[in-house]
Amino acid sequence: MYGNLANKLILDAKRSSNLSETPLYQTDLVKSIIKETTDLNKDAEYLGEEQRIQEEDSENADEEKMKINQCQLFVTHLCMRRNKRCLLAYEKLRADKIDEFSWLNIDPITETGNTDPNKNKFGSTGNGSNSLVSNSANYTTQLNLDNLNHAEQEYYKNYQHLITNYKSNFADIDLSGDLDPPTNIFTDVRVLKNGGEVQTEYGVFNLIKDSQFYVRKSDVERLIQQGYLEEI
Amino acid sequence: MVLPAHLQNSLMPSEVSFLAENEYITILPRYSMKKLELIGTKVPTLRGMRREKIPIWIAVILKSQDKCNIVPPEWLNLIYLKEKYEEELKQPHKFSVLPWNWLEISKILLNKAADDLSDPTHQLRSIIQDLREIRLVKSRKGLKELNESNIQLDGLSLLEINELRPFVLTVMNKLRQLHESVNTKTDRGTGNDQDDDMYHDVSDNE
Repeated sequence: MYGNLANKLILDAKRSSNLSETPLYQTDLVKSIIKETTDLNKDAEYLGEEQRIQEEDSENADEEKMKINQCQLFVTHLCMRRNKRCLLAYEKLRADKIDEFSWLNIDPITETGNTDPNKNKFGSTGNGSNSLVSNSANYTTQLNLDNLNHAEQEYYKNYQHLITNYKSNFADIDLSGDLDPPTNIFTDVRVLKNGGEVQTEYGVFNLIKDSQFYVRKSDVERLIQQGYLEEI
Repeated sequence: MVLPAHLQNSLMPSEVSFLAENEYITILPRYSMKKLELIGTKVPTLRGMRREKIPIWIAVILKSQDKCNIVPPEWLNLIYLKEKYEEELKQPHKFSVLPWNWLEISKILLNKAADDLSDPTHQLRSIIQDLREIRLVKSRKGLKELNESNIQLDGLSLLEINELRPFVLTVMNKLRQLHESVNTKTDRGTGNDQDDDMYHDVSDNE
């Protein structure tokens, strides 16, 4: 029945809406929905043609037939519209997830094959700490570029440009920073993974795993977001 | 909106306490300090043992450096809270009037300035817990009265309203939708050639 495929797509979207990553783009499903819509479009064109012919020789028109024709045309249009809505909803959800991720300032995972295992642990680090990444059950914290289709990758790049441009207007405020309200100025942080020397604006840290620092919170916010540090 | 879903339609507890920290509180400075010109708030010149009103967040910072004593607000003592508790017991259908931020402020003060309070902290904690629980029970009971048009929340504090908000809003919206669908409207525009016109979407942004 028409609309079943689109329904499948929507179910998939619903399932993935609370995940912390964007799942694989359903290329085949989308393709088949588009194919179905094209077929429907052909039908609609044919029916429209029929209608015009019937209207032209109106003297021996069959009232019944015209009504049937109109009904067919209407239903075909409805099916197409429904497909369109489902496709748009799916794309919008994915776009929103990409937007959410871009504000986080974390590098996306590029190749599934040879990422170091730590990279995949974004979002699972920190137990109950207040970092942006960990206290958010349904927050997009991972983005695998391989899971996006080409247009989405393009969108992601452009959206990042937009963010950068926008942020350049507010030099002294880090708009993509932590969304938790500030509580204390200084904080204890523990290093979760080796990062070598990290240069912040205020000095140099040497990130050695399991060492602890007592630092200004504003210096390390970025590192907490990226999962190198956890707050104690 | 790019904000994550859990931030979009209600405040987080941390945000609520952040707002509460902007309330003013009286302190007893132990040191003199030049006045600060902050955005929006002015901290007057502090002189030793001269009471001044400053925002809570500054008071807490000064307190942690042992530069001042915090004078507890007049409602944060056992006698007053006990009275309120009795009041809550007496009026099963009303909330007694407490400050807008009582929960957060008492939490901050109990954590950061326990030695300045007039009563032992464990007693204060327990009475606050009692108050909180009795009010919770009342608000749960009050949810039976939910309807599509109005709700009365006087006497509830910001944090308590925040807890109710997600549930109450969704329920009231649903009720309103049902209510509106029964009252059929004849003045609806029909037959537009627009996509969205076919499916009357009744989702509103609060």
